[in-house]
Amino acid sequence: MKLPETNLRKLYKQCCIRSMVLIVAVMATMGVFSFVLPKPAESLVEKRKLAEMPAFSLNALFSGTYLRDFEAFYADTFPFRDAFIEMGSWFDELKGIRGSDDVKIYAPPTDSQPQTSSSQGASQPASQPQGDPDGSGSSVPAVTPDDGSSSHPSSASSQPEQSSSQSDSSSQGSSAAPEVPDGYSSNGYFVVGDTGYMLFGGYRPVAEQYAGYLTQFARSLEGQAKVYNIVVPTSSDFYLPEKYQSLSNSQKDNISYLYSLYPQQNSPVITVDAYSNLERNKDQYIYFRTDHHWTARGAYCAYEAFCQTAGLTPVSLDSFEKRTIPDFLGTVYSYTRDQKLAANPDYVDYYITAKNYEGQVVTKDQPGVWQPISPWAEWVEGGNAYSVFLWGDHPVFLLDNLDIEDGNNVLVLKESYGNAFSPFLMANFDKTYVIDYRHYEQSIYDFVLEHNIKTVIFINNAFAANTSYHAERINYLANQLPHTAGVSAAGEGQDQSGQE
Amino acid sequence: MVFSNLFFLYVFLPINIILYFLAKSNSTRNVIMVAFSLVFYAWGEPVWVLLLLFTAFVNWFFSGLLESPGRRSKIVLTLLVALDLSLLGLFKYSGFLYENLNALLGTSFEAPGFTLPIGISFYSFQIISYLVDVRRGDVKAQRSFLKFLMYVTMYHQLVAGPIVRYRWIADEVDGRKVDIGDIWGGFCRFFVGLTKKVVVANAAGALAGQYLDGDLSRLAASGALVGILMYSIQIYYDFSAYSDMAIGMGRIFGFHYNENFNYPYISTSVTDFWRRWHISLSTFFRDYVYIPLGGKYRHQLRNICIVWLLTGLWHGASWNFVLWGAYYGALLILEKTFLLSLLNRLPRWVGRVWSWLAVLVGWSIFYFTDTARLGAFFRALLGASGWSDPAVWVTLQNNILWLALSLAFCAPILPAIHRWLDDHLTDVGRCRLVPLQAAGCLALLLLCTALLVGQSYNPFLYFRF
Repeated sequence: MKLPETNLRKLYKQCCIRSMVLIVAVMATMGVFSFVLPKPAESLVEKRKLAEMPAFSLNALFSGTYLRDFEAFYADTFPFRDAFIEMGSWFDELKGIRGSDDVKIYAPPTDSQPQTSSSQGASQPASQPQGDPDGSGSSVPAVTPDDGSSSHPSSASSQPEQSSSQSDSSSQGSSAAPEVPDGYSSNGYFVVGDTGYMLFGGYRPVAEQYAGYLTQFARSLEGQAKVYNIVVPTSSDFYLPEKYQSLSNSQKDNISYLYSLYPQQNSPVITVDAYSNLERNKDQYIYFRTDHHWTARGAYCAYEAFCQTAGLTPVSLDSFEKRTIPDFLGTVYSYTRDQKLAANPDYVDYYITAKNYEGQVVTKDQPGVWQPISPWAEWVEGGNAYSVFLWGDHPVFLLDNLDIEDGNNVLVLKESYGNAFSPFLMANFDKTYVIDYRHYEQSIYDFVLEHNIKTVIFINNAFAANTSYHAERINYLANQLPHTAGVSAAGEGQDQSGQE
Repeated sequence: MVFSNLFFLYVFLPINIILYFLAKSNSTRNVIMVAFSLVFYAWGEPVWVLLLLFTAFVNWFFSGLLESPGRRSKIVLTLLVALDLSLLGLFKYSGFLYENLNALLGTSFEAPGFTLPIGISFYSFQIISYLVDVRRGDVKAQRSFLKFLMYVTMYHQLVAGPIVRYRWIADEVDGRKVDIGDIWGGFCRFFVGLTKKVVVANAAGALAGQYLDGDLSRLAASGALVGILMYSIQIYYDFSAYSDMAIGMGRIFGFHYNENFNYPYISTSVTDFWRRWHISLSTFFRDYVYIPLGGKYRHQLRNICIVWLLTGLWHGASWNFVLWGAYYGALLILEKTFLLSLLNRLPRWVGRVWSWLAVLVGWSIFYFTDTARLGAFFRALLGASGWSDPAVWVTLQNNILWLALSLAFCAPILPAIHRWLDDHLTDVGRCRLVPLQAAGCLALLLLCTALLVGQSYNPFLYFRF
């Protein structure tokens, strides 16, 4: 570049120098900010704990893990991180169009990302899903599409006193058991208009395994309790437009197949057809649009179906008091950060299903200790609103209807779909025990005997019933030996689960 | 460490720049560059940094002997090159060798479980080019170990090229002049490279993996095609971005590295493609293997076969890379014998279509290290599981603007804009352009930061070559 006049050349140089100084100053300032600004410990947007500064050791340094973990920590706690993430999703929207069908596909993240969560791995008590039978699982989501219960707001101080320990334990618990389905469609998430779907893969060998384990378990309880199995479809079967049905495998077929196995096995398991009742009510608000769960209204459909199968009379929905938490943006939103979903949040209705009731919980932090608690965490808001049901996922929850004292007790073995369902059982049963089998470590057989349980209900969404982690977990608990010395057996159980 | 990393962008690079320009003398600046380069390398290879230092020292120590012609220096050269190649072979190919020996002989020897030191393929070749050039008398041996170490370990090109020959930058190793306009050009080049990596290559990689890493027996032909197209975009943008950032940083610190890419996707033939793709590697093989073997004058066919076998193997220790090299060797022989003269008589778009097709097939072979999966991919591409998949169309639609721009920038649009500006801007206009460029750089940095946040680790494709 030739500039004949010396003063012009000087001007050009000045412009260059100032530009360079500006750019380097911006970079260096952010660099300084990245060290002096306070570091957040968890991300509300992603509902997970952020990576922590790794502990230094020569071993870690030379193996390369120290600096890798440091980079994860650095990126996780970068200044203005949430604003940058927001900008990233805004840019993502600019990359193309949604077309006349108003559709958008979100791929599962690539290998580059799970590193962030790996640093959390050490603190995760339960194992990640094992095995990957159909080989497509390399693309599991880093931000697991688990429960809206994931983590509670850190602002536990604004909550009732007893809540602080609950909120802590559940934020740990939720990251512990990712609901990553086997055969999970590699197409990730699909958004049509203002509704997001998790695309169903399904994998019959795992469904067979799941059915088989339940049969074994039911046989061991024969004469003691009836075992019911409810497999719940997610929203894609009912609402995915015809044109795009091929993106997601049929859950109806998968569930029918799974149910058809019990008569073949001569199994004592009693199946509950929740699917048909959900389908009949599909014009109601039975699923969230921004979250992978069902609503309490959807769960009521399964409750009705259960009552019909079990010969009980369902209590009418109108007879319960309905309360609402507005502005719920759930897991599908937090995974996709989709702008259309953001503009149209869900709301969470919940029903007070008894007049006089008490709740108790056993948390992961204090196994064996029953603490009094309300069945509904009515303070939750925003992305955590699904945790209103049973405060998210805890090892054991007891819902006690004080107006029924007939000793007719029920046990629900569930993942997070069971949270919205279980409170309805209070209307018919004396005590409703709820065990999250992903977080419980002791013998369920013993539990059934100890609490005089006559009815056991397994409730899982179709993804969970097709995930070997869930099937294995149920089998593990079913095979926990009956014990007399509770403490030592519980200790063993925890060790074993750690090795899984 | 990689360049597209928040710690690099906001801590390492600004500190390096500030210290470098605060230092007044060239010798202090050399110390700073070596120190930063070693930290950069040790960050990723805390153990093998010793191997790098050892290799650099031995080669430097004996390279003085290469300046005198005669038998002795020939022996020294042979020994040094043999040492460098053995180290490369030991770390990169021993596992592959054992695996094949065991398969062939039915034995079960255990391979030494080395991890491949980052960048060893690049720095070994740089050192070899130095040794040969000194022996040929093209350049004087470097007397200072510090300066030689700076040449070998310079973090800009250490881990992913370009393969910089010592004689090209020998003068700059000894003493560099500060040219403000040139440094500014380096800044702009760096941010363009960063954007190519973060905005294009990473996104293309995610899309490619979505189709190519799943169950290939259920992949529709449209998915296979989009997958391999995305991979082609990814590998070009990724690798050329790395070269852009290396060349840009080189200019900031006063070094001028040769161009490594020249818009390979507008090639009119496969021969043309290889003049434009990873230029520093193909010219290395040309100058240090092909021509010494006799070039086109003696045993040309044999020479081409050797060069392409080596090119394939250089990219990785796996049979698909050998196949990939053989594939290009065969195509080039085909073009030399008749195809090129035929293409020259046809309209240019025919050659472009031909080279695109050839390259897409080439990247397929390159992508699948498992030959069974490669076969499954080609079956999918030919429609074994149907042609259409609604998800592919939705994905294309959702990324249509990004895709159009990514493909458009495979053509030399930026140089055309530069030329137009050079022709039309007044001198004052040029001065006014600088703040605009600065705003552009900051905007790109902001965008890249937004996309990098949340990704903790982001390895480059060419790292392990």
